[in-house]
Amino acid sequence: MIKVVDLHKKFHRLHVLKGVSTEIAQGEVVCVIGPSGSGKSTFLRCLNLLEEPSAGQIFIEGVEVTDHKTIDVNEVRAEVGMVFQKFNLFPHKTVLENIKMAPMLVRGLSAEEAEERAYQLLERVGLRSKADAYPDQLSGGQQQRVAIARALAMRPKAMLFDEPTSALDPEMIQEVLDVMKGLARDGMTMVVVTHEMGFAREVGDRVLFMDDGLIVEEGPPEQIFTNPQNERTKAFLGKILKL
Amino acid sequence: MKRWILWGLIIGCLFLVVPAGADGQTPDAGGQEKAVVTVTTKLVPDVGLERGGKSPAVEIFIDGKPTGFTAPHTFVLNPGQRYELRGKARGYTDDFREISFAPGEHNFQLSLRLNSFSFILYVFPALLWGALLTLGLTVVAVFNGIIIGTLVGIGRVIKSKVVNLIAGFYTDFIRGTPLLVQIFMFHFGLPPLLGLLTGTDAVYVPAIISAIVTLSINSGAYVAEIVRAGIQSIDRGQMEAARSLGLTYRQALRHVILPQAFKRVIPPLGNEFIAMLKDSSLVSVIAMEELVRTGQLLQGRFYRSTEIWLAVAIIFLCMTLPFTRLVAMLERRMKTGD
Ligand SMILES: Nc1ncnc2c1ncn2[C@@H]1O[C@H](COP(=O)(O)OP(=O)(O)O)[C@@H](O)[C@H]1O
Ligand SMILES: [Mg+2]
Repeated sequence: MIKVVDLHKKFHRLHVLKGVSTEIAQGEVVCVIGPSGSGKSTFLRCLNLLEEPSAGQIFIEGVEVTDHKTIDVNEVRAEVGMVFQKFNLFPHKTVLENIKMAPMLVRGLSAEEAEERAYQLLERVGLRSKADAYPDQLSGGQQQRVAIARALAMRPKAMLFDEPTSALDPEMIQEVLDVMKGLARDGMTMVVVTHEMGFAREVGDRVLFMDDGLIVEEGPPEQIFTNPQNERTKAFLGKILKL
Repeated sequence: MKRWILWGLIIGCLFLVVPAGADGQTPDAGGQEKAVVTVTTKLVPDVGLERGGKSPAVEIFIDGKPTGFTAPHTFVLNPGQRYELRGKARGYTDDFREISFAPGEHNFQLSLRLNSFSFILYVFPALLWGALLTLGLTVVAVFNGIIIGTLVGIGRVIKSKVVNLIAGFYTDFIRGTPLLVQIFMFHFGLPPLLGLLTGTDAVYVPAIISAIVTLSINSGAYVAEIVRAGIQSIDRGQMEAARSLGLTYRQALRHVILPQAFKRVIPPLGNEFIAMLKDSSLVSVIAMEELVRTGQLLQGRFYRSTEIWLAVAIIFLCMTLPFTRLVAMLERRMKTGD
């Protein structure tokens, strides 16, 4: 479904991704872990071309999206949903408008169609009653669920999550994880940067450990968490498990 | 509220210290015979502040006592003594003269000037017309400035080196040179150059055109900076979220960034309006009869600069203070909830 070949990203002279290669199958849930600054976010942002890769290739359903000549980046982004650590809802629009906007502007849906779709998704994330609220009237967990609904409204082929629960108060983490689990169960292809070990174990098919711009180790969650091979993975897990 | 009282006090005090001078010559003293003095009066300016538009009658006092006569009037005065002559009329400053008369006949003129308050009332309509032009110029300039500035401000943030460069040059040039110089450049400097380029005589445009164009272009640069800052103050995550949904840069700008930036830009735009109200006075140099130019013309006519500039300042204050308060209110509201 998604294939990444020798992906590099440089910010001026800062070499952030130093040759990342991996393949993500249809319906697979891949969790990405790794220390801060290791390039996890950058990797994710390259996948939907929010960052332009400096070198390497990305294929989505066999189409090379890093080929500038034939690819419209907006079309690619429309196919890959993204959920951010800080939700990034549009504060000047209601929850319903947040969700309706992109399908109408990008997909050309009518207002009625977009609204119907928005209500379905709000139902799915359990926030139908909040349709007319503004983002700042919602709790962090509710905002993040709206953000997920907003991304889903584009009917993406895959979803990217960049630490979706890191900015949340502890009591709100579960409601967001539950929505994500539901998605995984429904067969959504997901790449999730997260340090929620429970989530990774329960729904993750594979864990990638990134360090210093490279995928250092990858494997099934159980194996990575209980029996890491690489020294850096061990050191990292040792640190976060102590917390 | 306390501030308003302070303003009232300051302005009130200024009225008190405004000089109410008189002029005229004192005839030679001395002599033994009686003198026949014909007292006339002169009202400056003679406007007739009293009802009906007539000039008020000037009462004549001698040695502090009302004579019951109004000017002109002829008196016979004793020689060798000093007399105090005084003319008095409502709305005018009193004119006092202490004089003694040589024998013979004298024509003696007391000149009364409008007192400060009456004078300000007298020139007020003229100043208000000037203020109206100031206000009009400012509204037009800031309106155009908002259109220009929005485009240029966007031009400074979009991903186009050429557009960035042009927009940057424009704002740098306008913000880095005095408005006065810009006015001169456009009004006097440009026509000969255009004439040279087209091989025709220089065509000078009317001052009003020059004024509107220069003020608009000037305002545009400042608004551009406001718009640029407004756009850049919006969290980067907003643009990213919009783009991640497949919106084009244009769509993201139009539906996500600009509506949010717009709200933040309102208070600084209010400040720009206030600044332009004041700065537009510079077009007085190309003879636009706005508030300041009107003040200059009145000064040339009446030589009463203290009252005129005090009145001009008060009118400016009356125009800017409400906006200052409005901006402060908007800023406060913005701080509490976006
Ligand atoms: N837009 C950018 N410009 C310059 N440097 C960046 C940019 N984005 C990320 N970086 C740098 O790239 C490195 C990796 O960042 P990131 O991918 O966010 O790491 P992670 O998500 O794993 O914490 C960091 O050193 C960060 O400072
Ligand atoms: Mg990150």
